Amino acid sequence: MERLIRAEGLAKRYDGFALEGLSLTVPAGTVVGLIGSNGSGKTTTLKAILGMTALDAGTVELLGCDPHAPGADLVAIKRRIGVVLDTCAFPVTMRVRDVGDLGKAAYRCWDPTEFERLCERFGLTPKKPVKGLSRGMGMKLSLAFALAHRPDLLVLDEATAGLDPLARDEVLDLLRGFMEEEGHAILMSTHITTDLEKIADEVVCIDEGRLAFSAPKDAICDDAGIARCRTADLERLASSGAFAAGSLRALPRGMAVDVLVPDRFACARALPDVAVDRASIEDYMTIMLKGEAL
Amino acid sequence: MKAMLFSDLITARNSFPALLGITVFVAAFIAVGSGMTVAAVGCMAAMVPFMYLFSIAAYDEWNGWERFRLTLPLSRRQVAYGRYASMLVVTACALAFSLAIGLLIGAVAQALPAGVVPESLSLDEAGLPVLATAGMAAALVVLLTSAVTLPLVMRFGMTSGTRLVPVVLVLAVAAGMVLLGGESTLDVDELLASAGPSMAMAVAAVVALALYGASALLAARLYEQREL
Repeated sequence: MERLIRAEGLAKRYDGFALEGLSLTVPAGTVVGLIGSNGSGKTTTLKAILGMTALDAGTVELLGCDPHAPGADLVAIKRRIGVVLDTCAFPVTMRVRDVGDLGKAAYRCWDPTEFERLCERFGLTPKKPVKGLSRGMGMKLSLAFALAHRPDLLVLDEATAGLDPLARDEVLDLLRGFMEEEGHAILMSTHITTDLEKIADEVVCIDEGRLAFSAPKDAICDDAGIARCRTADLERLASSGAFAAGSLRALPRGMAVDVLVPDRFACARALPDVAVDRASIEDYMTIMLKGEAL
Repeated sequence: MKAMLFSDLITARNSFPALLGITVFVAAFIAVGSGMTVAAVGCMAAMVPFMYLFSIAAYDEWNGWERFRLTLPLSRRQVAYGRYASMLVVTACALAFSLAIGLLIGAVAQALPAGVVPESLSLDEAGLPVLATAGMAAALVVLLTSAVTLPLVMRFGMTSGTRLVPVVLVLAVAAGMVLLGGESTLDVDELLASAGPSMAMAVAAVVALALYGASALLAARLYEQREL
């Protein structure tokens, strides 16, 4: 399977922050969600992948090219990528139609009809000034801009932040439509993990600049589970033989302990009297980051 | 570079009507107040590009536009050269605009009955060559100032960069005074007088453009190293 992004051992050091040895891949036909707490290094990772910031170590292959290599044709690579950052970044003096004109000037394969269609779908009239757009409308404009040059890869940084649930669903529908075309892929960083439950294939979590975990979404949302244990159940669970040592993580919750198990069905078989719920990505991330290995 | 040039002009185009309106108002005030069309032309030729320069640099820092622009198919070098190109285009257009308004002021002054406005405003007093020289001189000052300002803004951003501009300008003026005011064998006044105004203006234009070009090369290098 073609990989649109392959990052190996990314390292970048700032004052008070270091991205260390991060690796991730985004194969064609997949949506990879990037999660992690604020300041964990998600945006730095995206910037490093896009060649916007110099790396201290590591390699990036973006659409088959190394954006950090001297003499790399970064312009040609960027023509195939649509990017939405966490704010509507267009200058406040612009109107919606100016954003279309900017796209026409910047991208050879800009499709003005597609841009107009998307703007119409989002209720963005051509004369509307950027400074008058709400955050949600601004993000929709950014998304229309990112899609109207028919990219192969979308890189989204908190693109659904600030959107109401209906608008978020609309955006996710649009992203699903984008993924219907062969060879497309999305790398999206978000704090809204429920969006990833609806659309992602793979979830990558960063914590303090390091890879915390990387797992297929189905392994998190379908296979894994949260066992609601009493303290006494912990020993039974750990010694049940159903799980390898170190594969369970426990997080105390008042008098009880939530245990993240990689296979909720195996857990239910081993301890039928213990309730095991499905894990959401948020539960999974919380216990992986805050819990302790058993 | 073309994409960056268009990007800058698209960004600024909605501000131009207000910017030109303010400029014409100020120029009319100066013309009537001083009785000199030539002062109004110089003022307009300098005001428009200066306001453009600081506006466009300020927009870079709003909402992460500068960072987002790097995701467009533009290299950092193209961004820097495009900014210089857009500044040059705006300066040239402002020069043409200021001359047109200057001629209009002169024509109106000529058409009005004597005593309504100072006679010195009429085209008989300040014809096209005089106005063009004033406009050109102002445009060259703009280019030289931009040649100092743009590399600093490109390297440090608008907020920090503009703080350094006065320091660099003062140092440059001081260095110039030391060089030209010392025991130099080069007598600039004599040189300018012997060359005539047209030749002096042509030489000044070549020098200003050369410095502007060198500044663009420096700004591109600085911008490539900037962490955004």
